[in-house]
Amino acid sequence: MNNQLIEKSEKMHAFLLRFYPKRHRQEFAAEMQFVFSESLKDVYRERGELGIIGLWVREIIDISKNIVIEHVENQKGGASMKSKKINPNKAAIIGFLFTLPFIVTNFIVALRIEPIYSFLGSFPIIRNSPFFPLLLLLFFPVGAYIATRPMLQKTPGAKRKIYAINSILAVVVVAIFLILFYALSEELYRCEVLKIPNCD
Amino acid sequence: MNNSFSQPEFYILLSLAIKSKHGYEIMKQVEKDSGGKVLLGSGTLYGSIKRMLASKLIEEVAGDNLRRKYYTLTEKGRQSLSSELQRYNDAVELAKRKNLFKNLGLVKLAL
Repeated sequence: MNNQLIEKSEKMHAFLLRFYPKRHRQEFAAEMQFVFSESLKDVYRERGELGIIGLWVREIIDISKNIVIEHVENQKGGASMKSKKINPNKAAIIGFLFTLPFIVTNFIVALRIEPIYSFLGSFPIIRNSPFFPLLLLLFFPVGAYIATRPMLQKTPGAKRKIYAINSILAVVVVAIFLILFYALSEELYRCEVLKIPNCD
Repeated sequence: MNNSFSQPEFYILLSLAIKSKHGYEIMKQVEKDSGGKVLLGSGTLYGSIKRMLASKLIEEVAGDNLRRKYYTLTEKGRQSLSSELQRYNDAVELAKRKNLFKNLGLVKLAL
């Protein structure tokens, strides 16, 4: 059994769980790690490294989606106990966190930071897929939406407020998303679709 | 009683109908019961468990392995599951009476 790959996967999974709200983490993180760890061993026994890749693809989508759900529910739960108001600072921080997967991955790849660079490179779907950066870039509009939620929220008897940091963050994130999405899509179109030689 | 569950929640309740299970056992049971169509990730599994604990549909119990958390159906969970199954059964009976399976091309179910 490829223990190294399993160990690295477990560490990476434990790292991803840090993005859950603290309350959820305290209650379920250990169980989630156990479930993932058992799943890893199972899929490796049945389908080898391909099975691990498949599991990771599923898990990343599942965890990303559920981190958002848990944060939104956490804010709702906290709000119902207090003043039913989303904390704008928290929303801005969470919104910004959504830009990190793209930024950090690019940083790791550009500077070849070990051992994360080798870990990412061990997955063919990441190494070979030109669409992976685009996928990570899609977190940007989600982050912008989360940052603007305190301004979109309707509170009875109170006017909607504009929060400068949240507004600026949302505008900057959307602008970066549009520029990078256009640039990356154009590059992918030229390199992957038109297959222009020496395309970089 | 509101009996509309999400698909993962329904399968989790179903998996706990016979005996209490820990997270990984639930995950495997759901995969088996759904014929591999519902593959729960750890996020969805524990998100659903958290909501179902809050709605008092399931509860934590002691199990064989002391290091694991085991879950079982509460009385409310049992009633909700049976109501949901009854609702499905009623819908299937109605579809049969109206010959809908044949009309919709579901030949196997029409038999």
